[in-house]
Amino acid sequence: MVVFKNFFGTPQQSEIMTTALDLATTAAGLASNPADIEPLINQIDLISSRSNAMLSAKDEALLFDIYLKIERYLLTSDPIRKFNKDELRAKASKGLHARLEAYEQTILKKQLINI
Amino acid sequence: MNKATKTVLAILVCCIAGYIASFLVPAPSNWTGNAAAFHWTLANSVLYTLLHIGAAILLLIGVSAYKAALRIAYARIAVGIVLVGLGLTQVVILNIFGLIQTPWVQYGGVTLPFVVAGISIYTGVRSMAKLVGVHSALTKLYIVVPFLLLCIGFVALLPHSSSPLPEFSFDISNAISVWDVVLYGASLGLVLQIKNHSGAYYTDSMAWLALGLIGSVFITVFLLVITFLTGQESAGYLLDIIVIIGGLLYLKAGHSFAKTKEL
Repeated sequence: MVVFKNFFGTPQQSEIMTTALDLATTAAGLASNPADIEPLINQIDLISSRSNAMLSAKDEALLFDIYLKIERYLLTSDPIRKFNKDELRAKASKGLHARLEAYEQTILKKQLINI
Repeated sequence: MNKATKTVLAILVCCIAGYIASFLVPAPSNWTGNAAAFHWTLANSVLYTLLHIGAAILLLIGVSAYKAALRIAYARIAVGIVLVGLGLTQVVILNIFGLIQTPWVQYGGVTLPFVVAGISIYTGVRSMAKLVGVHSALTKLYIVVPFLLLCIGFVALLPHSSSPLPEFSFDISNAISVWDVVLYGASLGLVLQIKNHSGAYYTDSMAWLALGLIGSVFITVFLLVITFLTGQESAGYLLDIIVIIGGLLYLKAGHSFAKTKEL
């Protein structure tokens, strides 16, 4: 049974995602060529290994940052599939969605100030 | 229930309807066996043809979420799967209606769907592997083609049971089987590499496509071994059952791929 399970892989996230770790991990799993985003996947693994049930605010911000980079990769560079932002974020819970958008706004403001 | 599952159910209903309808077809006058044998043979061939066509439909439903290059790759795989089903069915139809002596069979046209199916599936899988960045010897034509020719030559030299066919025709028939074994085998190797290489989201669909290809490799090896042992092409209910299982595996592969359309 283990061999069978390994052959078919772990079922993908189908329920609503509530943490930044789920969001980043699921997005990483959508990459048809994960080698293109390997450093980002390594960062997710590192955060996942050091976090317990609760993510610190710093880790959540890091994961949002990783997610946004993976999202940009999927929207612009994935070699086989067309994605859109709304479908990628559709399974994030309302709270997670709001926190992600707030983080995104903060990053945009910082970039505008730097310009 | 998602669209992919609804489509599978619709295809299964069509398969069952086609299977039942086959029993309503009258046996042709030149059929030498009993009517029951005619109906079972026809019904089985209709069933596995519809299963293969259904699998191809599901693959084509799934491709709309993908970019043009992958659509072409999957279209080739779908065409290959349909040709496998149609190729097997034409053999049954030719036997049933006594068309074995026609030029289509005499000049080798009967083998054409199998030759094209092997090329079509291999080139489709090879394109997909290249798109997702798989680096493998199996994508290199200068390795696969000489290996293919080597295998064909080797099989032509193997001893076999006496056959009613002329030796040249017997060798051509086996060469076609070897052609498909090598190309399906190379495709299978590439699909397993794609499964391990690409993201977790694609694992399930690649696993089922690999199982479908394992079915094709098994069927072709089975045909080859039986031909060598008996000197004649294999036919019968055992082969029908194996091909139906192969069709079901491709149908599930198509279903898994169609599901990837929805995130």
